[in-house]
Amino acid sequence: MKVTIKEWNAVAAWRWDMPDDDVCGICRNPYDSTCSKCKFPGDECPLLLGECNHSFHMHCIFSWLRQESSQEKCPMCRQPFKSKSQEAPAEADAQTQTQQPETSPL
Amino acid sequence: MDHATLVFASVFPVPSLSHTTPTPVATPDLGHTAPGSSFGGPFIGNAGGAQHRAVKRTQAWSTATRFLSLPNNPGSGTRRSQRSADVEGALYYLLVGEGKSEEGEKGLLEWYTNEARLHFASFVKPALKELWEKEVELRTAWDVLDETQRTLEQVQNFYLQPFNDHILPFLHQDATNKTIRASQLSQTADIELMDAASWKFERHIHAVFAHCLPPKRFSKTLSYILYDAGCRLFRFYVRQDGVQPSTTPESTREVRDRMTALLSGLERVGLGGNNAQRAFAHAMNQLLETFIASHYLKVDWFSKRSIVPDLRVWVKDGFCPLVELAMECLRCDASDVQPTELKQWQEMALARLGRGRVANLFDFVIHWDRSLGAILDLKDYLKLDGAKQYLTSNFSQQISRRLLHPGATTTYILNVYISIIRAFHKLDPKGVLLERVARPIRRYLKEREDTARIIISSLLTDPDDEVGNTKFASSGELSYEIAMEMKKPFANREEADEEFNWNDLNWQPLPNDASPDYKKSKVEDVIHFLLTIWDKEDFINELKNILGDHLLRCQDLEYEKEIRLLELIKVRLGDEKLQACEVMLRDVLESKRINGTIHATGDVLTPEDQGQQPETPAGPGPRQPRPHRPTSSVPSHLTPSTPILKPPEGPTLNAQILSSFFWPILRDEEFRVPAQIEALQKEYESRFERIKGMRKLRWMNALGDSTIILEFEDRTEEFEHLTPWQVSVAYAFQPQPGEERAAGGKGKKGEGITRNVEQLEEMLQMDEGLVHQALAYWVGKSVLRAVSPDTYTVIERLDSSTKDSDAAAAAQELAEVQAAQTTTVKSQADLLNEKKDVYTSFIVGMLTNQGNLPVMRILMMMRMLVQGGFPFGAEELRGLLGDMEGDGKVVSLGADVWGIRK
Repeated sequence: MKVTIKEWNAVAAWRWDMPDDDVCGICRNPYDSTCSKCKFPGDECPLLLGECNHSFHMHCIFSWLRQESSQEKCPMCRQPFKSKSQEAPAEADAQTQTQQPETSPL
Repeated sequence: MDHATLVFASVFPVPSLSHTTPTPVATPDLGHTAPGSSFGGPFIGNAGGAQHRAVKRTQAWSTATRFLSLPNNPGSGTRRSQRSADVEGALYYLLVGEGKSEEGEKGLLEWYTNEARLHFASFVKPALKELWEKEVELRTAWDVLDETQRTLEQVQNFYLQPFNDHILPFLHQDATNKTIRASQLSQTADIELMDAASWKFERHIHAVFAHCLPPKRFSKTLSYILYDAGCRLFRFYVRQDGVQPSTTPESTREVRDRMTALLSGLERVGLGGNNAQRAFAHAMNQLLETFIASHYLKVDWFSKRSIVPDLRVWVKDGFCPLVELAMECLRCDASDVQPTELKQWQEMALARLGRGRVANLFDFVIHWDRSLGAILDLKDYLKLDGAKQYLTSNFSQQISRRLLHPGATTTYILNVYISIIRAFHKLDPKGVLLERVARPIRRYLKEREDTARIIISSLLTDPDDEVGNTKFASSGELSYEIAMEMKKPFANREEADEEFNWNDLNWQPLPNDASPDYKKSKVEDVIHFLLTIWDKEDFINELKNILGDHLLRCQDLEYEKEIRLLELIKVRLGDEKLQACEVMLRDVLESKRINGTIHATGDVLTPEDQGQQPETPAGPGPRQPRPHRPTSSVPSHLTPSTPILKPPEGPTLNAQILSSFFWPILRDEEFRVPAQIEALQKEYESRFERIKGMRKLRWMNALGDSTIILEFEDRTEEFEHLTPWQVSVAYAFQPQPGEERAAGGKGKKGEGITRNVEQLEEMLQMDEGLVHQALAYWVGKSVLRAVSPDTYTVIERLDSSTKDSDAAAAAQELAEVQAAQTTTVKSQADLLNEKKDVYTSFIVGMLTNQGNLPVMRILMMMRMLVQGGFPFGAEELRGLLGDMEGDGKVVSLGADVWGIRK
């Protein structure tokens, strides 16, 4: 008998490449969930890893950094917060803007 | 008395033989002759004075009674046509003259009454008694009554004639004489006296008549006769009595005449009094009942209209005239029917009709909407006092008896519930009744485990679909009604709080019989009712599970129905809770794009792929930073198997990428998929990770489906929609590297590779249960054959041996049963089983530390303290405790309290 597989529809689950059971330090939601404002996880609510190795939902840390009192420091370690890859925040910013016109599938 | 006697009597006025000769005639009391008078004969004169009066009276009595005495044969009543002078004298003497009865003496009237009574007793009564002795059969009822009436009338005439001829004139004469003398006042008094005499006599006779008939039997018979007449007049066909409906339709006039004749006859002989009226009332009562049950008032299934107007017209124009006619015959005081009475009767009839309809309401509801007529009837009925109460309580009983029992499938209950919603909406647009009636159903549906699944999967099924239709018929798992609801135009209503909408000029107060939690539902919105059976959270949880399962199985890549369903539920339950569902839906939609992107990137590994970038779908892929995409990282050996280039040679791998956080807990068995697929998965994974930075994929091999082609020595077959483990097992029956030689060396014709379960388990690292399931499936498809227990071989050549096909049939059945049990989503029960050890040790610890505890308290503690929560209810906890009791860990102390076994 020879078995030929024509088609294989698989199912996979994605996760952020983060330690298990960890939550965003700001909104306290799991990384795999969204920040408190977003509806859809993943691309629309990405994570941001700081140079201090603390990561947050991007929206969460941005709204934190926008506050005066934050002094642009990481809320966890009080180090100045810088994204690990320099272009990422800018890119993400652009991303949020480009996302506006896009309609959700629903 | 024969002629001779008559002749003799005319000459010798001697008392006839039948009468005792009064003594004064036989031996006349001569008295004492006065001095100087001659010693005389019998008719000397009445010098005797007072004592002579007695003699004279006795003589007159004798004459009069002899004259008036009734003959033995009631037939010959013409004898006493004229009375002789002495009779007249005697009568006059006794009735109005001096011989009028005085105190202590017997009056002639009384005597005559008595005479009539005696006569009746000896001659007429026996015949009547015979007539009435036995139960009167319905068949003969008319005849018996007619006969009775005739006889009595005859007898009455017979008795009355002498009375009228020979007694009344004297009284009358006397009265007129007196009138001449006396004033107006006494005249009326005297005439009254005379009438009183005749009235009294009649009354006596009537009493005798009435007395000789058995009263109950008589009134029953009469009542039946009247009822029968009514039935015939209105042409009701009542068969249950054993009365055959006459084949030739009688003329109603005939029946009516016969009835009126009988009634007035009965009235004449004094049988028309209260008794007859009561009988009549009975009959009319029954007649009304019969009419309501008759074919005239059957539910109008065809033109679907109410028959209540017919009923009212009948009561007014059919029933009332009959009543009036009969009352006239019976000479009731007021023979006219008052308008208020008419209205009362109409309401009475309506109430009965309504009760009749309520008794069958459940059937009407089931046959909605052909039963519209019945519902409209009920609508009229509901206007009466107490009708609503009656309807709800009665219908609730019907529901609990006929619907809410374990024998009814949930689909059936749901369908009936929908019918109830629709029917009651018609019945009572305000929805108060529906709310009351539906409460038990909703409670019951909530308890059924499959309710939510059926509702949601029905909502997701297309009723016009060919395949769908067969599904409705066969499995009974889907409700056609619900699916049809989905097709209806979808009205988007804003749900403003109406209580505070002060600008609403059409505002109306809530119905006064509404319960506190009554909510006005303006529209007959079945889906709303169905979706609000549960609490929002429960329902959404359920929805999440079902939708997850459904999306993973769904074949339609556009997911139109799912999107619509979600939209629909959002409108009813609010957006905020449905995030998980929306994410799931987006995941499956997004997966398509990701597949496209990944295939595209995998496809073109040449440098020109930069030019392709704008063409890639607007999915998230291109947005990601992809500066370091190492083309070399795709292992070159995979390139030949990339799907799009050479589809026939390598499999296509499509993936659904789930945001696992938002999906229900899915089944997750680990096993090894075919090497080919494993490689593809790796490749897919690496590309995905490149596109979506910082993210990992985890394959859930127990989910998904696959299409394969099997090539045997003599045939090639294609299988679609296989589960991954089925494919993996089939794949394992191919020669492994290194094994190839040996298999080929055996070279046995028609036999392929043989493997046993243990081998497979080891090769695939698969759960034994799954291996068995897959093997059963393949045996069912005549691909494998069990050569010995737990050992299977490939059927390379399919000869038509019955043994194989029998085994295949049996295995197929088994496989189908198993397939039905597999779902993609883990059930609550699975979850409980999985975590049983944790819970058990927790409970043991808690009971050891805190002593005995009731179930509710254990539940509360567990909900608060167990890691990951305790998403179960008291029932599951009780089950768990029961299991633990079986293991000897805890012991039930009664009253829901549990403790540690010591």
